[in-house]
Amino acid sequence: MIHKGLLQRPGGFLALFALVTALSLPVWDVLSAYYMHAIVWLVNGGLALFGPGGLRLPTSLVRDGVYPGIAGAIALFVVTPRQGWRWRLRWVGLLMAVMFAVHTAVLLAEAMTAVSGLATAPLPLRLARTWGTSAVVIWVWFVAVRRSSQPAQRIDPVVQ
Amino acid sequence: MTVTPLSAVRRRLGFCALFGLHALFMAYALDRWDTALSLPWLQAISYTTARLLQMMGMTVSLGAVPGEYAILSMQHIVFHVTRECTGVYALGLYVAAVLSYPTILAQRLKALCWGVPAFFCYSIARLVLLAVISAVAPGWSGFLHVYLLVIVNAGFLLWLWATWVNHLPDEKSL
Repeated sequence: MIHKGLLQRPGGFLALFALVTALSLPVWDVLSAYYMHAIVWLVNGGLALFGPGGLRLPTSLVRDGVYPGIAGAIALFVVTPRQGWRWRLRWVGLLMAVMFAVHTAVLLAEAMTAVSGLATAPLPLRLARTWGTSAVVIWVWFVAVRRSSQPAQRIDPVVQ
Repeated sequence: MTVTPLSAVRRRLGFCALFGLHALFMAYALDRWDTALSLPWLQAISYTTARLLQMMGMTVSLGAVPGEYAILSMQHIVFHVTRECTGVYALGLYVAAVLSYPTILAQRLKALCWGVPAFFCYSIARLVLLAVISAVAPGWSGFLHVYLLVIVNAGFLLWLWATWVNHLPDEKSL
């Protein structure tokens, strides 16, 4: 369970989070074009397999400043108190992998929906589009801090 | 704390699984009952923001695309206030986090009683700040739009939730 005192100084945590996010957002703006390039490449592969022949996403999708929530997500793990850098790197890596999978799946599903001519997106896709990033980020963060806050197993000394 | 069958199930499921389930429920509820929940929230925030900006001396007119978004027209900028701008998704996640934490019902109600107004004020403050900065330093409005309306939400909801958790009485005294 997540214990009391996980964030002993919530105000300090919020201020640090706001600061680190403000600093990391311009960096992410530049990197996001590469992230988007990889997503579009994968979605085009998916469309070649499952969609009608010759369908590809427009290259105009690859641009700076997409998925800005990722900058905040990384900042969230970076400013989490009482965690080492190994913990932070491990969870940021895992989160990026999860977010990449989510964004690829949502974009592929959106393209398939557009091709199928549905007037409105199905409910799961609508929810993933509006809630996906923030819900996944907060959930992964809760999982990460819960795993690190579990008490270590007691190992009794071996009596010779 | 008295152990009821429900609290035993909650403990077995664990906070993270419960949070996932509650978040799913909140996402579904806000989508399903959009006109009863998200839309009045959007209208109340847009209206209060417009009134506050008028009180600050700005010329603001409030319009809307019914059922879609509100329009705050100022001399220097026009805002399309969507659901995302109002922080309603972050509020949904806050409610999910409160409902998932193992404590008594009265404490959860307390968290909602001051959490929902706090989110309301926070959402208005963000829009007012964005409008003021757009007037004073228009070059920053693009950056601040993403920064204030999209990203800081996560920090705010965790701050609010952690403050509530830290103020909970010890389990033995419940």
